Amino acid sequence: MRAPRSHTLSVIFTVASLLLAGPAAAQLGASVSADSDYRLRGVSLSDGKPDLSLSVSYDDSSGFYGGASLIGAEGMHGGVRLLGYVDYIGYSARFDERNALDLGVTTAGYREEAPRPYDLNYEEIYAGIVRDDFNIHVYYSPSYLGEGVSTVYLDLNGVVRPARQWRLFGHVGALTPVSGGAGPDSRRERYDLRAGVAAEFHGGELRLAWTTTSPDPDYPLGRRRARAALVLGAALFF
Amino acid sequence: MIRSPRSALFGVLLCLVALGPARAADGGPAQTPDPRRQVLVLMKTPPQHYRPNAEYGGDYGDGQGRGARRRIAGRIAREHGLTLVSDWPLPLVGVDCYVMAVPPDQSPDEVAARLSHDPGVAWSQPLNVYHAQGAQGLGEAQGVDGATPNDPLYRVQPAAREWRLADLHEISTGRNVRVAVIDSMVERTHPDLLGQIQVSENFVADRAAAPEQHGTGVAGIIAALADNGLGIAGVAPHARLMALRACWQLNGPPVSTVCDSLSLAKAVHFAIAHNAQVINLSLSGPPDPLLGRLLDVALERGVTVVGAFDHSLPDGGFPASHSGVVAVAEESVAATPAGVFRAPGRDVPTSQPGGRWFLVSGSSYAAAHVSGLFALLRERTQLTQNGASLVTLPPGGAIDACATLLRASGPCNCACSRTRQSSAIVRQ
Repeated sequence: MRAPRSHTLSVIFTVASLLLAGPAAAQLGASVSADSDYRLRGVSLSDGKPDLSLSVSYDDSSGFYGGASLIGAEGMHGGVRLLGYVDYIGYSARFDERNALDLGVTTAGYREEAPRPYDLNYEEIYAGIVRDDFNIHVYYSPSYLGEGVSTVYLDLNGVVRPARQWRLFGHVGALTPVSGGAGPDSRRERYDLRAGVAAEFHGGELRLAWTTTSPDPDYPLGRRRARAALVLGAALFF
Repeated sequence: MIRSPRSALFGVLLCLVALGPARAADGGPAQTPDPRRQVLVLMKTPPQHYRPNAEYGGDYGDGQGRGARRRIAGRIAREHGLTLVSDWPLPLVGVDCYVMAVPPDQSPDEVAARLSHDPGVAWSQPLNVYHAQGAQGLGEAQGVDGATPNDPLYRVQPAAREWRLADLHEISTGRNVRVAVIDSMVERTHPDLLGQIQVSENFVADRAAAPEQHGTGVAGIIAALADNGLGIAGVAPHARLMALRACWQLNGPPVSTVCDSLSLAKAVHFAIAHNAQVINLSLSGPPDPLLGRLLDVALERGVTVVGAFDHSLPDGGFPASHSGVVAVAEESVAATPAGVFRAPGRDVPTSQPGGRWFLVSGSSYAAAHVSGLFALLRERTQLTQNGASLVTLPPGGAIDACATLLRASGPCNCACSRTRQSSAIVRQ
């Protein structure tokens, strides 16, 4: 797992923002969340086992933001292991009443244990439009999950609120290799879908989502995972 | 090392679920009933953005951001000796709203001014109180015979005579125009309102939810069923009502109807978010920054906002005084400033709780007539602004509803048009 560089990015950003903006103007958030499966773009990275995430976030009134998450999951031989991390920095600004332009960079690293230990890392830059109940982003990674394949990922997310405390959400994503990689699998486009419902309560939420990927989504190469799953999750926000 | 990680993780998950409601009860907002001792603290929400490892929350924001703002609100409340009462997201104006109770030894105005200087706060303001602009008449309205439409009280409706309602309905009935009635609770089961209410929401906490006079009366004037052999005919009988309860009835005597800034803000926000085309606000009170911003959003989106003019308040009171709001006084008010419309509002028969009809008077009901008229206009023409420029005002200042509707719909072979042509010939 290639941690130091990426973690440094968000830590530097967060500390610098706090110093520049002053603590009163900063919105510093944190969350603890647990899910029955950790899925990245439809693919389970926790072998279908539960995960626990600790996240911190920073939002500045200027539009700059950043954050980081640590993800733990069940180890192959029992116990809880560090599955990975995600961090990000970005800038978001409304350009009209309803829409905001969102730009940023994210880095992530995961450690797989089976069939042999190896690391999955990637860095991505992203740009998107975020509006009331819908957003669209495009992400470019020069080497997605360390496979030496540069990829473009496009995703759309939508939210409908049938009642104030309830949220129906949907997601569709498409990952396209744009260069690199030798095998036929590395040239394949992949799609993922997610749809679910969240019940929000004071300081937290419960989620239930159905998620799936396009057929034979062996990713990383050589590993087979269940395509579709129901994922139950809960989160507390601080 | 944890030996049973899967069960341990799910145990944590279950704890999270169990802890959530407990937090709400223990550390979360308390309930404080006196709105006059409360201030609103508005905290800016940053623009939405991508957050990896989190589910998209839409315009109501993400959980981590909300948690951060809630914590800041808690800090502000502690530092200023206030009690955090509740919170409500208002994404259309880019703020989360926190309600804080002010202790007896402090003035809400002074507290609001002080909090506005906190760098974490966009602005703070007292919770203002608003009053409906209407009163019930002397007695139960009695039916009359031979009216057209066949609603028995049609002939005693001022709009039937002054606005020639039957002629207006030849041109438009407000079909499928969404009109938000932000008022006290409307009786959904009233026989003259059955099926007319598309959406009903209650934004008043801690008050009994029972049908109330003012809201039921305003709703009837706007959109009571026509030709159903009962009661009255609404100005726009095919409009779709959004009955948004933001006010509550105080059973005096005299009976009065009051609202506050927050309940109104929630209702106006809901109306905008759910694409209301006309918003009726038959109430008045002091200017309010939060409501003003919400009304600006509504007006920018082309919603017609109608407010009741209150001659006892400077500039007719808020929201009638707000730029872009269509201000309406009832016709018997002797003098109104330029730009204030006058419409029927005295001894108007309308629906009341209990499946009855009473006579009502006041600018509230004049505003309701004009909201109905805008529903008629909106069926016939696309309005990108509030539409006030379409309203025809002959000398005297009272609205000429027929001429107004003809102006929007264009020539037609209808009674409004024929009468207008006859008048023109006679004048020549």
